[in-house]
Amino acid sequence: MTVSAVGQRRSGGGYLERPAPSGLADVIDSILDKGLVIDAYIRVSLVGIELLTIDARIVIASVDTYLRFAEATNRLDLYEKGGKDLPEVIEQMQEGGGRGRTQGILDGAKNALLGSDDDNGDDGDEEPAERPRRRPPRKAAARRRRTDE
Amino acid sequence: MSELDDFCYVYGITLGDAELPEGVDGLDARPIDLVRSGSLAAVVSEVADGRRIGRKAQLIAHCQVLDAVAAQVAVIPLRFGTVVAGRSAVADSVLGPGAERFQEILDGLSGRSQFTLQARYEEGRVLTEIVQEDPRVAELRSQTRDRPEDSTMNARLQLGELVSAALLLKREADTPAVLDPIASHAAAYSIRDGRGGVDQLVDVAFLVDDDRRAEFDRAAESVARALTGRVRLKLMGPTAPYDFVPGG
Repeated sequence: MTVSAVGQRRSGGGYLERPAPSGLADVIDSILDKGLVIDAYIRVSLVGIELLTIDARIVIASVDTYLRFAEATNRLDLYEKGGKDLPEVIEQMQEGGGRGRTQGILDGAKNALLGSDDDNGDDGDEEPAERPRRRPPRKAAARRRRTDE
Repeated sequence: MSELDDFCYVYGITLGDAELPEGVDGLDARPIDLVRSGSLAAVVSEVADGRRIGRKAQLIAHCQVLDAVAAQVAVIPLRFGTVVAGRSAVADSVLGPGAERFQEILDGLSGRSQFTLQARYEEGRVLTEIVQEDPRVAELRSQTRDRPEDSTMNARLQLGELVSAALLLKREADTPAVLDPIASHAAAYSIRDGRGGVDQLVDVAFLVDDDRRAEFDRAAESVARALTGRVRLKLMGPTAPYDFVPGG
């Protein structure tokens, strides 16, 4: 029912991206800190979710963010290296997975946290498809810092 | 039989006459069930033995159950990871004492669904604007580009800080063009904390009346068309109203 409705809408649009309801991976992390919280004395557990969320925010609010922004700016290939006009640059960045790269660090943080407390043998396919390609050292460092805490 | 066997994972609170959606399993593939009390019901499943909660597959299951219930009837999503000691505790300690408040929240959600909009810059486009608009950014960029990271760390941090500040200003300036034309077709909206990525513009959750979905949809499509080339819009939903309950 819902699926067919989305299918129809998609065919009419064009500019708006409309992932299928099952494709909510992009927003699923944001559900972590949403929802009614019932009184603590009735609850048995809320499984350290607050901790997961806060930890992920620390990662993104760090110096690392600035370096990431600097790197993204330096990655632009505008005039010095000449020749390429803007639309071409944009096209390349899209092909190169620019959106995946910029979000990868936080995704990685949340995935690591969500998957770290258990026999996560069945979680292996839940890593984001696109990983930050040019930043393995820094990402590894972020993970180390977290593990050390 | 240990007490643990009775623990209930609680997804959300809905109306007592609600029916369970078909073909949707709960966390760890456990069947979902309803615990009824008065005019309300809680959507629950057993907690699997020895399975801790906090894995991504469980978060996905949590959302799938709530979205499926929400497609049929108003539901108040509970925070992921809510476990209560037994069905009777769900009825007597959660539904009973909170009945009036829950009923009020459900009334406000009835006939409405959440849609979530992500607005993202085309990264190359917006960074190009920033380099061209701020000579300091252009200068720091030429100082650090193609140089070793270690010897240019301070300049890199300055560059990143300037770009970050410039992006904040752009987000503030550009948000109304995304939000305003769409928000007028929604019953409520809530701006979400963004991830803060380079391409982040704004994430907004909208609560949309079922009978205004078509006009809401047209408005979103029209904004996407107007901004295309500089901003990408992604619309997700309908889902359960995660962002429109207290604590959400």
